[in-house]
Amino acid sequence: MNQLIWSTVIIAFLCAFLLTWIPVMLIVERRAAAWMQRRSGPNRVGPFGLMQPMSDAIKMIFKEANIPRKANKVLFVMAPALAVLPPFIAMIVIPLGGSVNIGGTEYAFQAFDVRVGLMFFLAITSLHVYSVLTAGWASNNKFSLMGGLRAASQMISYEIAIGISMVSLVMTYGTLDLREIVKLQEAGGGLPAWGAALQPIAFIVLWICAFAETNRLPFDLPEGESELVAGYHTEYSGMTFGMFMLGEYAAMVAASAFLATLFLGGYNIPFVSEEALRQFFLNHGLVLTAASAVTVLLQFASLVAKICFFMWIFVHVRWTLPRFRYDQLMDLGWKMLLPIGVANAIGTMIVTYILRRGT
Amino acid sequence: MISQIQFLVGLGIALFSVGILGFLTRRNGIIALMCLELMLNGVNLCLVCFSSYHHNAQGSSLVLLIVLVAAAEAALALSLFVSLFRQSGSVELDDFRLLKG
Amino acid sequence: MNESPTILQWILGAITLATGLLVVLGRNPIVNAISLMATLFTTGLLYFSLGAHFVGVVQILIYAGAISVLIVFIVMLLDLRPAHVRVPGRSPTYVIGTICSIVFFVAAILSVLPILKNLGAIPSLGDVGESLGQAPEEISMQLLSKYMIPFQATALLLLAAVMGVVVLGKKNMLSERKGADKP
Repeated sequence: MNQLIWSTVIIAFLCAFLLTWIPVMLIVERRAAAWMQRRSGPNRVGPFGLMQPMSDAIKMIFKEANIPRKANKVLFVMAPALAVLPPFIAMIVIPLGGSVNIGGTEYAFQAFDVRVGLMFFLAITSLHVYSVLTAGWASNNKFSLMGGLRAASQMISYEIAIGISMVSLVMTYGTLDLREIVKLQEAGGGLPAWGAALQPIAFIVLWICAFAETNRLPFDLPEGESELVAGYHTEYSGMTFGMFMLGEYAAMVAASAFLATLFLGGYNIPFVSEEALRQFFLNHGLVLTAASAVTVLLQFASLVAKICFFMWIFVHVRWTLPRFRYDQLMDLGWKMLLPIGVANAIGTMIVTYILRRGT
Repeated sequence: MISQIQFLVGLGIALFSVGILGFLTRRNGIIALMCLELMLNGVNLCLVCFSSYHHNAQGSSLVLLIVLVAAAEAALALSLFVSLFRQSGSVELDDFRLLKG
Repeated sequence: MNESPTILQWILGAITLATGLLVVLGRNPIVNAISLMATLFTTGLLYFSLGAHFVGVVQILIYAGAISVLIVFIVMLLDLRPAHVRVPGRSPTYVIGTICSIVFFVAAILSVLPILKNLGAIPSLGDVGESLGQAPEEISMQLLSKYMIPFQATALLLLAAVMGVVVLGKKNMLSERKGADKP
């Protein structure tokens, strides 16, 4: 029962954490775009324009959320909700830190410690495509429908590459448990045991696929402005559109956390193990609960730093690379990433077999 | 009060019968396919239930095989329907009576 | 002793059955397809409530995440509107189908449930525990030893399906008409 209360607390914390990212990313993205294009960007609201997200949010909430007359109303309203839910649900399996010792029991800093966490994350994020599909269809608009169909084929194609590159990673670590994967990276002694060092090809393939799965440039064909007006969210206005924005940024945070967990050592701080850190604080006069709590917070800060890195790359790529053409996108998915992933999986299989036979 | 295993197997049977109902009454090819998935789903529910009752993995492995077969079947059936639609502009099963003379 | 279903299972079961009925009774194909996805998803959650985490995840990943996306996609691609789908009416197949399914349901419930009453309860789980024998390792052991031949046969079946889809999807192979692009 205590575990249930603890999980509830962490889920509340996660919601707050994910929602905090949205205003931060709004201002970062607009200022970064301005910086790269040598403009000033939004700098009027508040000091350095920092209150711009606030005014955006107020504007969105008070605008009318228009529902087109010929739209399918139930699905039209359902689609933005479906866009927001999957990233929030998927985040519950990400280990956010080590464990906190409360009253002699170790509580893992993770909402749902499941043994198939890796596949759980993939399964829940694969549901994201429904929001795009239903939004595109329910709007009763040909541009929206085109956007929805493009999104569906794009996301399904890239999911296959994700699955294949996951296979090689799972073979390397021998487990599907995300916490276990982080522990193995920590036990290997920091950087050399990170997934990015052991499986660089899988890392790059998965990173590219993360762009495609979150519909960010250069893979934002479902919402390509120059071709499809605004793609699947053409008909959305006010807060219904705001929900799509929210879902996109939450999906980016979730994908970054997932990549960090698998390939950059998750919550662990390079070259510093959890026991050493906790022992350090114990030696400096903290009680066990406080020492473990401080350790976990430091580890969480490390995870946040890694997420920041990935988020910055997301923003940087958006304002650097041009959009793909549709056939180039499909060619990249099916003729480049998938064969590379398969080759990587077969190579990993052979190497793992040889290494295991040696012992 | 019914027990957990009765509840879940009953639900599986109910899903299977709903699938039969749809498969026999709806004459649209894609909806018939959906009903087929519904029937497989009812069977899967019963298998997982028994598997976790007996504490072994046999039922679950069968479920995995069923899911794989369902994936293959859905892919094939849907591409068949697409090419049927291209040829005759309809996926209603009653329209394809060419052999009936 | 009989352990009764938890509240969560009652709710999930009700949603599963309601959306399952919507698949069959709905007039709009897109609503049917999306409620099929909801049925498959809640069934996956029911597996989770039984402690079968791996199978539940596979259910959500493959059924809800791939197969029903494909179905929704095809329904949208063919643009099946409610007007294009024929209403069953009162044809003989309709009556016979309804009778058949009701008879099957009643017969199966009456014959199976009394036997199940004599079985014990499903062994209970920990707070977020996984049921014994449902771990990915054990399932893969079963698949690679006892069910090796069916497993390999499924692989062959998948290969055949891929080839079939490629053949069907190629333009101008079956029809000479200029159709829409391959999905």
